[in-house]
Amino acid sequence: MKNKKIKISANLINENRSYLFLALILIIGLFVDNFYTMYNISAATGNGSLVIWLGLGFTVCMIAGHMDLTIMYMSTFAALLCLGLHGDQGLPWAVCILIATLAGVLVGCINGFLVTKLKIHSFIATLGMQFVLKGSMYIYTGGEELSIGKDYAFSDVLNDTPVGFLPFSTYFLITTLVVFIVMIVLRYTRFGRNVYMIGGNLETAWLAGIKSDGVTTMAFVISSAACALGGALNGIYSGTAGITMGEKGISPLMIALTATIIGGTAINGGKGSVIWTWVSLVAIALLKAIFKKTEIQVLVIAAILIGCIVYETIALYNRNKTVGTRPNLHKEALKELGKSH
Amino acid sequence: MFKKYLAVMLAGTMLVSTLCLTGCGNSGSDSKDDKKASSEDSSSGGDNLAESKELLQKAIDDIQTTDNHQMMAEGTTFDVPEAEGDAEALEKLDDSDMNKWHYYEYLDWDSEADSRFPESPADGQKGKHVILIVHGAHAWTTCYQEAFEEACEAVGMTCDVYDPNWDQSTQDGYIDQAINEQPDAIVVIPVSADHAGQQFKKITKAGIPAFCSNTLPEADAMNNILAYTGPNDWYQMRNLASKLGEELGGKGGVAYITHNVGTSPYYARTFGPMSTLAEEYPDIKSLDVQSPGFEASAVKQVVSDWITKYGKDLNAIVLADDSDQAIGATEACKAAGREDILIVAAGMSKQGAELIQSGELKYASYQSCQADAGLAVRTVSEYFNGEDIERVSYIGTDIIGADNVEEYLPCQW
Repeated sequence: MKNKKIKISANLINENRSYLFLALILIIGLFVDNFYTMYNISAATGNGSLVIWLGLGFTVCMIAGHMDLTIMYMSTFAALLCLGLHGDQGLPWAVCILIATLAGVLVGCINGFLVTKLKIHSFIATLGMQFVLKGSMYIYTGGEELSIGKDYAFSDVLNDTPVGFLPFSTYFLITTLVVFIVMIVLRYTRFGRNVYMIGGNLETAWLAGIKSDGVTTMAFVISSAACALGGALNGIYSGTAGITMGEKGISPLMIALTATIIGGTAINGGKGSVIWTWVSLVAIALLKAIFKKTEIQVLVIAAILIGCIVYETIALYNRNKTVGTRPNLHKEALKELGKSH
Repeated sequence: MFKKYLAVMLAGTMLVSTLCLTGCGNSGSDSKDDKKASSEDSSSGGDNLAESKELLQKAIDDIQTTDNHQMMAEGTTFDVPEAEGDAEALEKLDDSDMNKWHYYEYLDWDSEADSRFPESPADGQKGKHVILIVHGAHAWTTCYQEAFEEACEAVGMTCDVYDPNWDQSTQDGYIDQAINEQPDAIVVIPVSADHAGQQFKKITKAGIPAFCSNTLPEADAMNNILAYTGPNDWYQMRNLASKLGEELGGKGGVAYITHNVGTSPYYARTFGPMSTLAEEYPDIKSLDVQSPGFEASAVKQVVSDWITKYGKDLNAIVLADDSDQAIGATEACKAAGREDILIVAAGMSKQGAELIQSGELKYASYQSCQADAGLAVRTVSEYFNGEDIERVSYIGTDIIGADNVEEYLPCQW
């Protein structure tokens, strides 16, 4: 009986650790001056939105058992393309955003092709692709930053808080809406379930008749398109974009990766949720508003990441100890859990 | 499962909204009210304005830079010449054409498009709180920061310093945090000239006096900046180029090592001297422009390649930095036995001074880091005292060579 209680609480922590992380940050916020102000929450979540788009893409690929390292450069590329098309060609924002997103779709298709048809490991394929993107950006801009110039109208819309009582910017609300849509697709559609299946066990997925190449390519397309859309919106939201974005501070790629792991998405694929990543990234965005020094931010995020990894390692060790001894242990545990409720 | 997510999200959102609307934990505004009250008390009792002016004057008279110059000296201003076309037309000109850089060189803003700046309280700087947001960690920045804190303390202001470590998005975050803290003024050294417009727009929109220091912002940003203080990078680099042209006897080939691409020193320290030489000495050719960064080894490699490629046609090198870049360039020249190549740089650091003394660096421009900070604090103080402040004011400059380097020792950083 005593053991059962421990198992339940351990399971609860594992499944909800991103929520616990966010709750911890919100509680700490109660003791921080000026934390709970409309401006602070709106600015912190707005500034953290770009990384949420990156986390969204990274999580989808990771659930499918792959890594997409192009996410950061993809978003920067899209931001530069969007600002460049608007500033130089005078195209409307909607067209610029659409073209930038389509560029993301194209990059996703290429990544998918490299991984599925040429059988290049996703780590290597996307690592190469990120340098292709970086080189393209240098050719396009000559190393210079691009800005929205005097055209602040749409930027102001993205920065505004459209719902009076909600401390969230339009940009953050759009970001959240897309995360929810992807979550619904992954959870409630056949394609979504196939993503989990190929990530969990590719062989089983193949035996089940799933066309893994198509699903994998689609996962990369979702990832790149999300990052491109997020990057384009971020370029307008912040008013500028530069090639070296994120290279000198805490890398957005690393933050997205960290949040994906903290959220509970399995590194080997097959398990995870974009909502878990979203919650972790919101927590990290708010954490930055609490711990103002970059060094402390890095330290706290690292401590939480280490905590999660140690926890996972111990959990895996305990799970492996039971392998082979009682084959139906998992079913039994679920049955017991059901009874306890 | 979806219902669970939705319930958790809605509950969390409502909780955060409620906390925000009720201002839970929002003691900052209280402290600001307390500060205002204490400021009013002190002004009614001991005349805070008179005391502030006295403190400011004393600081101006007494505080010296480490190289024994006045730290809070009055800034200089320049008349902006007429531009020979709009920005779009000038952009099409050749890089070596002075006119091309008009809108980079002069903060020629349209006053009619100015945002509504907060009015000066005119109750003295004493007791005011300022937030300084620098661009990133560097020996120069440490020197600036310490001088800023020293000057603030001397005039009775308190200050907090945020360092985004050269990261644009981190600096954006700090701008938001600073606005959220509602200080009496915010001073920013922008990471990027192009992005400064949006940053200062936010600060001014929040009703906080915004000051820009050191890094030249894009001209349009001035519509949201109460005052800019800093070095006149273009002017000092043009002077340096004139001196170099004179040394070269009006002919030869010059190559350029730049600052970080896209920053205001990138344009000023590359195209300032290039266009000046083209204008004053048409027989001097620009051979190449490279941006290897600030590592001595990378610069050494670039200069070695130049020596191989251009041989005797390479007669001078203009550097954006007189520390690591100068070390790399002088080492490459020494290794190739080309001590005849004249090297000039923007300065001035300890390494630069040593290289000038040893004769390896011919000239460096003098840009006082501490006077830069001192002028910023002086301008902010004058604003709080209700005085008329210049929208743009520059620190003094000089050209340092072997004959006058002693006047600027010990170096500030």
